[in-house]
Amino acid sequence: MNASSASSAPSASFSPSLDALPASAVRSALLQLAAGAALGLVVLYGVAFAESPLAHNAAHDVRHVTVKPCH
Amino acid sequence: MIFQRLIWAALAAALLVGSVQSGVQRWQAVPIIQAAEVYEGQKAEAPAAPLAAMAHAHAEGAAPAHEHGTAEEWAPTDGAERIFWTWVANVLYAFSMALLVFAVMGVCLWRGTAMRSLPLGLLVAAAGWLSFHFLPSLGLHAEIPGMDAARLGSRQGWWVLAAGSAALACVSLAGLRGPSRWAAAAAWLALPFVVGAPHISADPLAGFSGEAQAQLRELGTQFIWATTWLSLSFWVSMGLVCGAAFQRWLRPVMAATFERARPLASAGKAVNP
Repeated sequence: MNASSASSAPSASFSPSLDALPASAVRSALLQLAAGAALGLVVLYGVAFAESPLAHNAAHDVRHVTVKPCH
Repeated sequence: MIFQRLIWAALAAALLVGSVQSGVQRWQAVPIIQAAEVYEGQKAEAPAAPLAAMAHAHAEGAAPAHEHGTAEEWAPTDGAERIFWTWVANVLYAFSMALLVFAVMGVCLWRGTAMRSLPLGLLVAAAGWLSFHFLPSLGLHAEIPGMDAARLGSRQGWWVLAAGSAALACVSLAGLRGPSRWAAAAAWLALPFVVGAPHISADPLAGFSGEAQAQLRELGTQFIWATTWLSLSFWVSMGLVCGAAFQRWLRPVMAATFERARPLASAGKAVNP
């Protein structure tokens, strides 16, 4: 990275330390995506796999229709 | 806050897709389930299965066909209550899938995809259909109530293996370069079948006799087709709705975050070719 490219970056005009900001923002965005996916897997487990009779009976027809192993 | 937007966008998509799916299911699949449950009820009342077949099935570790209903557990009563809980389950199922679809679309955006949101949504939905419906269903066919099957835990384990392998096959195709990606994808797709889906060696309908068995066999075939069409309609609507929701609520924020990190690298290239 040379000086001319650094000055063309929007954050470089404030402070050199802000160069780190986009990277950490990207990391944070990816972590939030991962958290969303993890929540999705937890909900999927509850709807489609949980052995609790309550969960099974409430979601019974959906488990059959979405071809999940059921009872 | 991307997470908050993810939740709201997934909820909006899930309400739409889950509700439509509930309607189509009610028309296409629920009548088959309820018809099979009539026979299942008869089996529970009079377990007059051929003894040899039953003993065989048990030796293979078969689970009793239906455990609920006989015990004193809560179950929604037929009619409005059952329709309501099926709708709730459909919405939650769509919510979980929408979260996964958005996460994958977000990663594609991070990796610099130039695809527009709608085609990207449909492409990710196609991968979802392959992973969460097609590949697992090849090994463990759609079941109607009343069928005997291998132990629940082993079938669930195989389902997770099949879905995970299919997802990794898609990741290999998207992430690797060169011809090796096809080999990697094929290997992942083959893995669950090398392991083998758990099945009982007895006829899953051995517990029924004569007319009931013939009827259930017919219902079982109908149900496989019904679930195939329903999965296609679910994932097509998932692709369309998630594509639109991603474009509206998620892409602007994510693109801003990812783009802000990119100019540093791309500007450097532009100045120093």
